[in-house]
Amino acid sequence: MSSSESVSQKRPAADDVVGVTPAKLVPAPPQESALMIPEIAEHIFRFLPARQVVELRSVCARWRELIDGSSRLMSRVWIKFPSGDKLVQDYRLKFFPAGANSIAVGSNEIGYVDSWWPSVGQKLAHLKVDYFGDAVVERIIKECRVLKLLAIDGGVRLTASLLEIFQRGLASN
Amino acid sequence: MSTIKLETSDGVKFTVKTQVAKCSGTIRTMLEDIGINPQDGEAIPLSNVHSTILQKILVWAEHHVDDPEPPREDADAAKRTDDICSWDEDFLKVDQRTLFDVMLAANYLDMKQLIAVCCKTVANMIKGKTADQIRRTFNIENDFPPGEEDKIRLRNQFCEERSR
Repeated sequence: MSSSESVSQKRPAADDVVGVTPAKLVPAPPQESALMIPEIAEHIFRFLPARQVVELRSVCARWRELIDGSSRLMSRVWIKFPSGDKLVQDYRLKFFPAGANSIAVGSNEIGYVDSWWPSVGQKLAHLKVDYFGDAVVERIIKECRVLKLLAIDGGVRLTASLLEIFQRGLASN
Repeated sequence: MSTIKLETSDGVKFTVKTQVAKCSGTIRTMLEDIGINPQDGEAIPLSNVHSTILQKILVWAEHHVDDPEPPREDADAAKRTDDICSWDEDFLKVDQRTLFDVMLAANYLDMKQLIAVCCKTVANMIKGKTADQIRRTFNIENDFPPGEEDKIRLRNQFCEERSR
């Protein structure tokens, strides 16, 4: 060991670990705020209720981009279809963030799914459906290749073929 | 007692107990995988960490050096923030700048427990505040074009907390 530094012998806690005196230290130069580093911000947001994470989208553009793109944060949020939207041919979801993977289909009239649903369905991990007939629900689920959770509610019956489609999906991923 | 030397971005050298330094995953990797040999007397360069911050972090590491490994948690669930121990609470009663610099350094040094406790602390500062209050608290610029914020709020109505 060189003579310029030495391990301290018996000094208080802080000095016991370090071999320099605080007097030598000068302040750190400014760096970018930890709040703007995506992995740190995401880690912080994971400690917040999902409702507030959604509200944080309106703080600044970088947070919105981070939250929308994070499947980890978005997996705690249901994206609902705007009520009154008729899900017809070539329907476009008005709001579906890149990281979203949970959809709740509720008070919407579904006329047609084949043209627009597959692109949404293929990334869904969680799906909640309500009110629709078995045939529509089956067509919806068929496109959900990575579905982990299916919540059915209201008028939807859990038929044998529905269960089979869901289980086939589960088994394949 | 085995020690190693660490050199910060501003050229300050610290002599540290090896066991304490190994609270950092980054340093552990350097020692164990890359095979840097501290016996050579050469200091490990920590080019992203300033001496004022490293000193603070070493105090934390010294206090927590014998902590057991924490249990693995459910990654998706919202987590508790009310379980910060009182020593850590006092340790993190610092100005915002220092807190954020400690977070950056802990991130670089890969110190998961320190990162977690810092994140909980900041989450507690955010909890219950409006977007506007948060911007003022952390001095964040509202960089949305006029009208955009209202549009975002409208979209937020299509989001609902997913109960588990």
